[in-house]
Amino acid sequence: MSEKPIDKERLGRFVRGSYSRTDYKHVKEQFQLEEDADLHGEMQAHWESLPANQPLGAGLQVMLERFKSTPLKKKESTGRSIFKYYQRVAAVLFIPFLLAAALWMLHAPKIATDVMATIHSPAGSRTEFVLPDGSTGWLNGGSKLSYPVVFSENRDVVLEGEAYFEVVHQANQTFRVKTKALTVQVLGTSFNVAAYADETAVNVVLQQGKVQILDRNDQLTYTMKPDEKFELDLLGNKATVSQVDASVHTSWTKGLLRFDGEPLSEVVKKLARWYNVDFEIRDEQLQAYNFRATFKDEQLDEILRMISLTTPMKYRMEERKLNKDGTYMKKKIIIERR
Amino acid sequence: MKTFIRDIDSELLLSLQKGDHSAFEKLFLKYGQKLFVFAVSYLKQESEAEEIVQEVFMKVWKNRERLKTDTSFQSYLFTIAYNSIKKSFNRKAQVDQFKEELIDQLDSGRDPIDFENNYQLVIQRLDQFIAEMPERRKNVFVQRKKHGKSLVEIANELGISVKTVENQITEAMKYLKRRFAEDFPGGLLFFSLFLRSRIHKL
Repeated sequence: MSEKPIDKERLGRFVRGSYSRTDYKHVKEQFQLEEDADLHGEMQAHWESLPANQPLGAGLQVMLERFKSTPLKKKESTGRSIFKYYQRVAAVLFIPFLLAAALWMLHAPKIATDVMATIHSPAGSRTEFVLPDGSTGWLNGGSKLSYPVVFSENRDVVLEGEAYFEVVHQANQTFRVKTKALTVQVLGTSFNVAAYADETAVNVVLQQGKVQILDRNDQLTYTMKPDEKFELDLLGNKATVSQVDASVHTSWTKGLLRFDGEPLSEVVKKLARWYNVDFEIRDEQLQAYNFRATFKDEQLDEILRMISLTTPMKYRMEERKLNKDGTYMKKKIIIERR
Repeated sequence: MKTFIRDIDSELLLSLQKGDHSAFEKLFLKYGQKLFVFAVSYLKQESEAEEIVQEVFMKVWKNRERLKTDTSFQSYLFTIAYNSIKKSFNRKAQVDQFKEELIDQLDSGRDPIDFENNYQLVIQRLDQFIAEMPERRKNVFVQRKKHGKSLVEIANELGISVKTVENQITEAMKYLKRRFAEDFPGGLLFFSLFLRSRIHKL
């Protein structure tokens, strides 16, 4: 193929996203050239014009958490641990990656069954996961889920935060979700567990099937039926069971943010996780105001505006401050009485 | 200024060579988003751009012991990114080839719809319109246009007559033409702008 000089303006339009069919066709031809010094040069100039140290988007935050979540971090970096590092990555990423997959296959038989992998879902994001047995689910923002890379007799996972599970049925292998306060034991079903470290209650909502609640000593305390909510108050160590619409509690996996007549203090906790921001309520009475609404794909600003319409509050956002290492602090929202 | 920046990187790279994860994290925080923005401007899809970022950083980790600390880490990143993006772009272009051909076909009828401008939007719309076809028609259409299967092959696979397959495809093309003519957002504006520019040229 003969080398054509690159059309800078076409490439520019393409890069900016408002390009015509002809633009696209030209750019495509350019990309298909074996070695194109012009394209290389233009792209290098484009690369150099972009700023570094920009805050990571949600997808990259998740990726970084996954890169970081290796229990072998502290070990000496030998050739072996590189492989293990990759194994961990392969176990938690959904993007198929040939190299990691190949390493996984080569080394899988050697993994000790007690090697744990952890999925972190940073605040402001929701992460879909697949476990080694094929069970799937969603991990809500600010939550983490640890599981053995290879399931042994029992399928035990450890949860801090909130997750929704769809468990694959396996007759002689129970699936258990362990939280600090209680354990949920199932055979095959779908349910939601919310056990945030900063909450004083843990709750389990069953959508389908049958689950058993075990206490800290693994003693059976209750067998749940669908559309029931089991709530354990950690302060009073009291459990209550109530009838609920399970879909309300699992709607977050579909990107819906639902408030079901909850006090503002709970509402801001959810918002903080959902949008990865901090809140400060500077009025005791405001905390108790109840709020009911459902949002989908709404900007935080819009939600706050809605809340301030129905409660006597006003809010303001503090500027994000730059940390020493070039990253940004969380945005902080101050809520005050009007 | 440039040498100053390079010095910071080379310190990080020295730590990275020793297998320091926090150096890796710092490099990711520094260049991750830049790489993403760069990749997405060519690939036009966030998920694909994320794959590039992942691929590049996995290479950085894998090759960390052989990284040169005296040359610019930025140009090293660019080189890997450039090659990955090129590969990914060409692979995608190949997969999307059928869409371009479809657009050409839809554009060459007796009452032409012009797809010259806002090509990205046109392709997005095409995806959407195909997705909204009735299940069976979509299946037949995709088998024919995307996978290039013959009418007979499709008929045999689905256990329907060749005539039915043909009809489904004709209907699908008619439907696409209609959707594009009716539903194209800002269609009128889009047309008038285009006509005006054509008139100017004349």
